[in-house]
Amino acid sequence: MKGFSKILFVLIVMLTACSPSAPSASQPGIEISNANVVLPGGDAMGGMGLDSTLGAYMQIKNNSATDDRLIAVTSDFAEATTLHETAMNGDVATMNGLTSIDIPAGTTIELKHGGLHIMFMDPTKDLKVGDSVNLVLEFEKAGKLTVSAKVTDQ
Amino acid sequence: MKMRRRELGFILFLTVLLVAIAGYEYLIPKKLHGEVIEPPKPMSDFTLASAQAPVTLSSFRGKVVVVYFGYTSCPDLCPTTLATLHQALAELGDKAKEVQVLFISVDWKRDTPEIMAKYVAHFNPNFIGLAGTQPEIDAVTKSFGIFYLLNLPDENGFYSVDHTASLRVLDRQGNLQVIWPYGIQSYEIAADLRALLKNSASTP
Repeated sequence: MKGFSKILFVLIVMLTACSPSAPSASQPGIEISNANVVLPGGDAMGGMGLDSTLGAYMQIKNNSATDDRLIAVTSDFAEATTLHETAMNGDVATMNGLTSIDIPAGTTIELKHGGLHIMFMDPTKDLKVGDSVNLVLEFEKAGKLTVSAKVTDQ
Repeated sequence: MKMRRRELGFILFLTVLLVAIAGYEYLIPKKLHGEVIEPPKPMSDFTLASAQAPVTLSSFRGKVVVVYFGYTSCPDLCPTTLATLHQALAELGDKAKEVQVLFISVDWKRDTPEIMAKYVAHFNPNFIGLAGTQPEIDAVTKSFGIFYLLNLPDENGFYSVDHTASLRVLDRQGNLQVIWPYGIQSYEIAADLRALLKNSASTP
């Protein structure tokens, strides 16, 4: 049974990993995929967007030959937005504010749980799982890019 | 005839092998997915505020208690960990009643018992959120070996909190039995909880 559930888990992970990545937005140079805003705990109990901080995660690919960097993010559902990096210092989690996130030429930078992420403070709209929201990402070279992100529960 | 004998021997060999594997799985205690404290360490008792009434650790004797320290303004790690715990308890089914999750805020400046209650309820109605004054939180974190630091506020007035991200698991007698690392998977948590519930009697 234990072996079976392990195999099942591996299969699920494989299936999830293989699902086609939907491009969320792209323009010459920068391509963004799998953008999502996480509503902690989902909205099973009414959602907690309004009294929490929210994180956004995605993959940012720089197809150009020049290095770029993400310098700002804005949205229409939160008062303030900042860039953060969660780092593990041994057993201790630290969250550092960043002024920018480097996206070197030809690389994909992943914003993910326990790592780089965008943080929204003081949400002004009560979001629901399944909603689509727009984020405006500003890059030093590529300029502003509007990204459609899905609201998910994790 | 000789062939038949060989086949029989092979089947016998397979049967013995399978029985041996099954016996091994059943008899040998399952390995826990974290740092096992041997012998389990008695923990000093504490009382902290919940939204309903003060909650005392020793009142959960007889249950396996998972203690997690974090804060509600944490958008990244804390929600992930609490969602993973919920998922693990869902896998346990009825046995989940014998497990209590306590989420204790290290952010004594911002988090109140009411905020904690509202926060944990989004993950699981049976999770209990606890808050305390600075001296109370200092005492509890010290006895549980938890580090925390309130950072300086940024230009928006927001501050983040550094904190130990691993989870403390107490057996039914209230002794620290295992420390789960951050990033532990729900199926590992469920397996450990099953083993811990089986290992210790249901009465203190």
